Amino acid sequence: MNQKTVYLLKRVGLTIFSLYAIVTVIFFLFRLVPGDPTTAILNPRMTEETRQIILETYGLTKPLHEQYVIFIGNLLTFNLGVSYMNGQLVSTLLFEKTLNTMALVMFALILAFLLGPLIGAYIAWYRGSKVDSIAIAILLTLRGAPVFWTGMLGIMLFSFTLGWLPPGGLRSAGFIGTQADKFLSLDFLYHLVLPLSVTTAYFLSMPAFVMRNSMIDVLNEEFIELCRARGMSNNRILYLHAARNSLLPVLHYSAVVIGFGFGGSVVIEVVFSWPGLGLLMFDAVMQNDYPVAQASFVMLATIILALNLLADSLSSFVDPRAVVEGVG
Amino acid sequence: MIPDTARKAKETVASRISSNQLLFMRRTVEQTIAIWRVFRKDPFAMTSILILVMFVLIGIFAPVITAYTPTQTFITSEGAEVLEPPSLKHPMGTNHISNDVFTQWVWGTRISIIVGLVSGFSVFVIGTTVGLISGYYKGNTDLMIMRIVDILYGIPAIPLILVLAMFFGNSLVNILLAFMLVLWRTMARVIRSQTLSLTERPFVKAAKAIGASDGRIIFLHIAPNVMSIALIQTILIVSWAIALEAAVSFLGLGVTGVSWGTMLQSSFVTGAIRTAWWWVIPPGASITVIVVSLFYISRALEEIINPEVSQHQQ
Repeated sequence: MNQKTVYLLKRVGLTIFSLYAIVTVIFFLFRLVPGDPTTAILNPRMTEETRQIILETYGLTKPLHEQYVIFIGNLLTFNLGVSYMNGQLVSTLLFEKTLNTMALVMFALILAFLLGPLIGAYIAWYRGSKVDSIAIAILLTLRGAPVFWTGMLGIMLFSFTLGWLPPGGLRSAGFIGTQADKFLSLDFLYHLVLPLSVTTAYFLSMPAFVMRNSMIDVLNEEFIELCRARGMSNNRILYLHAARNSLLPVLHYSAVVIGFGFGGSVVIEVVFSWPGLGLLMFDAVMQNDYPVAQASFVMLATIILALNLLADSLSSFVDPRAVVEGVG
Repeated sequence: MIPDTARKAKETVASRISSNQLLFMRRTVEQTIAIWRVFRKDPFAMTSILILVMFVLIGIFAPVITAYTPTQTFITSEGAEVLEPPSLKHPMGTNHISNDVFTQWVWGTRISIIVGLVSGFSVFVIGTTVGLISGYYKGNTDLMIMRIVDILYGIPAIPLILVLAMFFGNSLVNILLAFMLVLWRTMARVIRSQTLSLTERPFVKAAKAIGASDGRIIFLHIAPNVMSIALIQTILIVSWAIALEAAVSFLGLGVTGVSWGTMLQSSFVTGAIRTAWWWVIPPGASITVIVVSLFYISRALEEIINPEVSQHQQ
């Protein structure tokens, strides 16, 4: 096996291990709740009989190690139980909400990673100038402002004052169509504009800063001088030669932004009433809907870990040094 | 011959350590002057410091600044003063149950600053210690700690706090513990990589050769050299904690009493954001201003530590 295969296998192994650890922590967290685990999930008005039935349904009367095996088995077979809130199958619920979250957060992340480096490259070229410091101030503000607050301001301005865009939700009331229609209709786009802009603006600054800093290093290298000597235009040097060589740190850094982005999905989705994983989890926590809260948490962690793995694998293809430097 | 030389070396080192304190003081003064020089030339960093000082003062003197209490309601003969725009009596208007928004904002400052400082300090202590130990001992200790950090990177912060709040309730202590759990990872990682390279330096090897204990080497020889980086990280952690507190309060898992996050939450939940801009803008803008100020300060400090970068940037 060559070095790259070993590296990739190691990464896959670590990802699975991390996921396993997270799932295990979730399992024990639930069983370590002060008092009886059922106090958090059961309605106090339930009779002792109903309590026993529910305990047995969820296997909570068995010894801990057996419960653990059942728990892992259920996760692997996607047998996630039923929501306490509305009796729906958690797996169905999860699938639908994950698609919605992906449509917003992934889209925003992709836009941020397209626009951010462009902006970063541009201001790196004008480093130390007024353009640079104004752009930095704007980017820092976008990064520093709480995303739910900018979302609220957006709703105030575009929905309530100007009336241009809907204040939340994913589609208009009474919208009828198949799953595919949902994402391909104009109505969806109309609902997506505001959340997507706010979220993209929030994610944008990190790739932009990483790009700026790495560009500044690259721009000081000799080959840039050579490009200039050959009479290339500034734009050609900037985007064709320098930017290409500065993109690696951005890729390396994407893992952090991905975790940050999906973690932030809770507040983003609450503000825009976007029916995704974050909102699902929030509602579940508020109503002590344990199966849903647990499943959506594991789902979020899985998405983050999978995307991190993807980012690392891409890095190893683009930059062989990542393989040598190892996993740690 | 050899024991004699060793003793001599030990004595020299001992006398040097006794003069260490003097050296330390001189270095501190020099560093402060160096920091001051850079900040004086950086208008953004200077403004940021002034802004932070102002917010800290507002937090400390909250009871003096406003005559009302955050939960005081204002009811006149014409009824309750609900959702009134700013006036002389209420500089930031009133909210849906006729509380004075300005008073809530002033008291909210205190919560934000306390959460920021407490999280910053505890993460500084935990993260630096773990990072130093991980980087110094290497091997299995390092491997284990870094695996834990890796796992933590897969856990989204806000969802984790939600789960913890669901299980253990949302008291101030629980929220702060959850913050520490989420925030120490970056600090540990940064300090560890710094420590890894420091342990290879001659002064650490020299200390080992004369038989200094591990604890002494870690905390007396290595720790002072990671302090500047730890300081920058701590500043960023403070900004994270303030933003995180706002987000958690916005979700209704707020700590205690009135904070900027709970102000935004109630304005959002009650639908007051349709009209009551005076209730929405102050808390959000304050969070933004504080966080951005902390960003600018950490950038200025980075330039002091890493002058090469700043030269490049000129």
